[in-house]
Amino acid sequence: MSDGSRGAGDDSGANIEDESSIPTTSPLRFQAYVSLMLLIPALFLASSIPIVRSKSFPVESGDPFLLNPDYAFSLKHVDCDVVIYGDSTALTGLDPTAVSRATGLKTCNIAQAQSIVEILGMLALDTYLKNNAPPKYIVMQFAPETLTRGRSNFFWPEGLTLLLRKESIFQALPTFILHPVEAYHFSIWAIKAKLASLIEPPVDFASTQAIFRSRGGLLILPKPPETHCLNDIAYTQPTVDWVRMLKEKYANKGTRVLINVSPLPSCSPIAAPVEAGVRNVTDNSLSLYPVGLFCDLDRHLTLEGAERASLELGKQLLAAQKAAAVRHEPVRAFRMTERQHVK
Amino acid sequence: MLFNSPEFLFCYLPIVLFGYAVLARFGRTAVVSWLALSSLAFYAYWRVEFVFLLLGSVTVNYACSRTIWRLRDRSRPLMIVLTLAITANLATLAFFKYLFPLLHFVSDTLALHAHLTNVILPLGISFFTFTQIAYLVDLSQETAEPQDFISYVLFVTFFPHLIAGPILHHSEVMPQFAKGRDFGLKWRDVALGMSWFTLGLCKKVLLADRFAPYANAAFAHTGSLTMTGAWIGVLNYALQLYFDFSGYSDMAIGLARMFSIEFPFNFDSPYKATSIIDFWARWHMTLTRYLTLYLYNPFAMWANRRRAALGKPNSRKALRTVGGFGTLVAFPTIATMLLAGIWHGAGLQFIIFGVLHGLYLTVNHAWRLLRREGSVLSRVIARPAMSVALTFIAVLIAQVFFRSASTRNALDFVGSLVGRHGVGFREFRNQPPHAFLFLLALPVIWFFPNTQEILKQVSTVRANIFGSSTLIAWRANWLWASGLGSLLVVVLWYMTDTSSFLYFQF
Repeated sequence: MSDGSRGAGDDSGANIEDESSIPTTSPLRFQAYVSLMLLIPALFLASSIPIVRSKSFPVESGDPFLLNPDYAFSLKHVDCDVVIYGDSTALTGLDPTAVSRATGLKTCNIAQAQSIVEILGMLALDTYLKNNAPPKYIVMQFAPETLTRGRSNFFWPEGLTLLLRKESIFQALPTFILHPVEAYHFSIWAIKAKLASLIEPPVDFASTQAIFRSRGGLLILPKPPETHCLNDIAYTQPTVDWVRMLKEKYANKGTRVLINVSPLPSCSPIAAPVEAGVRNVTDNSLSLYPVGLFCDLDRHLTLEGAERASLELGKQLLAAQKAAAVRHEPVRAFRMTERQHVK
Repeated sequence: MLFNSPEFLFCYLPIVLFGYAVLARFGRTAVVSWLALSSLAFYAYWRVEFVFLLLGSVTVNYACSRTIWRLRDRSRPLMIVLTLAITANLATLAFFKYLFPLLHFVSDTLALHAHLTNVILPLGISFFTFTQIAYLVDLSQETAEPQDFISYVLFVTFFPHLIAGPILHHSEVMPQFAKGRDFGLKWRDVALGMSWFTLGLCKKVLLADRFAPYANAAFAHTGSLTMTGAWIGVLNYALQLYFDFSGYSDMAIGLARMFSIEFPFNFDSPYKATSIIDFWARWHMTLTRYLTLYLYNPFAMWANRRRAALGKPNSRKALRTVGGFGTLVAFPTIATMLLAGIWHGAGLQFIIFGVLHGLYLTVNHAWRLLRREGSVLSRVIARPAMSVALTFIAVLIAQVFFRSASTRNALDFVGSLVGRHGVGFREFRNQPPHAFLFLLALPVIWFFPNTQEILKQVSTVRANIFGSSTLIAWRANWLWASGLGSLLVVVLWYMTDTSSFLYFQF
């Protein structure tokens, strides 16, 4: 140790050379140096913008939730009676054709992945409503955790992808500047996806696409059924004000809004708290399915699971129709007698 | 917050630099306050509640420093206050770092099966505790100056060194926060600091994190490794540890330099060391300085006085006797390194690590004293390749104890290194090509110039593969800017899975 003391730190400060070690250069040169050094990584990250905005990116991304990013925006004058909206649990769990069969009502599914809802809000639904006649029912289905607002899972790529594709760069820029960490992760994800697509062919989503086309908006992930539940999920209570706000905002022009919670596997460790948490908040109660009806994250259903969930929704809609008819019946009868009195 | 995280690079650092540049117009107090507040925010990002511990420690120590300064002419009360302050610091450290591991050890040994909870080890507690103890000791000896509160807070908490050093000495940092200094961004320092930081970031993200999986895999299977597997594992760990910690130190030095604050070096190509004494002069240099000033010197002084009291000589000749060498060299060296081992962690393996280095150093000192110049052995060991190899192997053996989860695992690993579980080549066959990246890295650590040499921050460049030339010396030109900018691109590519620094656990 004794010798160790000689140079360890005592002379280390002295090792730092004074001004003379660096050539006397103007500050401008150092500014240019710093600018160039930062410009290269900045340009690298910015290269993700044209990549994401390119026509081929949704397929190249290998992300099934980006396969049909424009679907909701492309529906014009289809005038569905039932419009299904919500997060990926609605997209992967509600079959419009099955709902139509069960109710006789023309049904569309324009749901999107959760991150799109987080970032773009209700843009897809608002666009649909602008381009079509008001539906009789808007059914919004969300996973239990989506019903809780203010969480920070922001950087999911689908939302930022759609933001860049649907908005101008200047409109999208504030979101990226305000969330630099998410923007960084997103850029690297997009560039890696692009490069991966150049090296190997993109994932084959033919079966997913075929189901989506034939069933008008149902997206079934090409994954095998689950065999056991996830056990690492935390759950917090739903944001009741947000649910109420959605209902108030969209329940007009004769449209009725149903807000549902998506099913969970019966083995889910959060089943009981979710069941209690959504009571008197959502229009349905929590359904528990066998885990084999799920194929991803305890949230996304297999085709069989989606059919079961769709039939449940059909029943819920029929019950709602019936209840509305009963409610209107006395009113109509009262008006009839009123008119007779006037006569 | 990690230096190698996007939160730090894209949010924290730009905001702190911007605030620093703007507030520099309002004078020293504004700048120092801003840096102190930013540093506390940096710490709070990990766990807000521990900011209170940090602030409590800083406040209590500051109050002690004022008292010590007031009592500087009254030695007895001063010693009482100093002793109380040091005891309080060490007690806090002991509670968080050693108490529960010790209780677990006792419970397991005596099969008590007690239900003990674990406390979370506050980040950087060893570093900020030792920094403050050193300041109090020096203040009591009037080799330090009293400071205003904000300057003191900044000295202890300045974010580049807060979590894992370098362990700063007040004499080299306090004057840099003093009145009369020209604060504000200096583009030359920003350019140099950014380059330094980038090189450190590359060491961490592109090198240390690449070696980590193979080191971890080897140390997870200590009982079944063949000799080749064990050597691959320990070499990967040696490189991971070096690039991780020296990368962190480079980042810390670079960050401080962006604010025109100069930190001492912490690494000087330690694996080029030709002896263990030389190794400790190059490895974690600020810790070595700390140990020397605050442990070794007091121990050596005590030993000197004790021998003098017994009427024994303390001459150079006395060092050649068993008693003299034992008291004057072996005792302070081994005692210091034992405490250094304990500082690194609670566990018998850390004690063995410390004692082993103490023994290495003692043998090294004995060799220097007793070798016969011109003998065959002396000439063989004096060859640079031989001395570097011997030192490196000794360091590797000690690192096995440093890295292992327990002493038993460490002994198993050492057994594997000498072929106890077979010589075998199965690890060679099972490893992906990346596992052999260490074969490319070893020449770099032995033959290439180090960061401060590349950045021309030392007056003399040691001989390297380019001679003593400045073939790859840094200059603020477009070539270096684009080279480091491109390296940053590679770092960004790999940085999506950030990993913590090894020294954060201390």
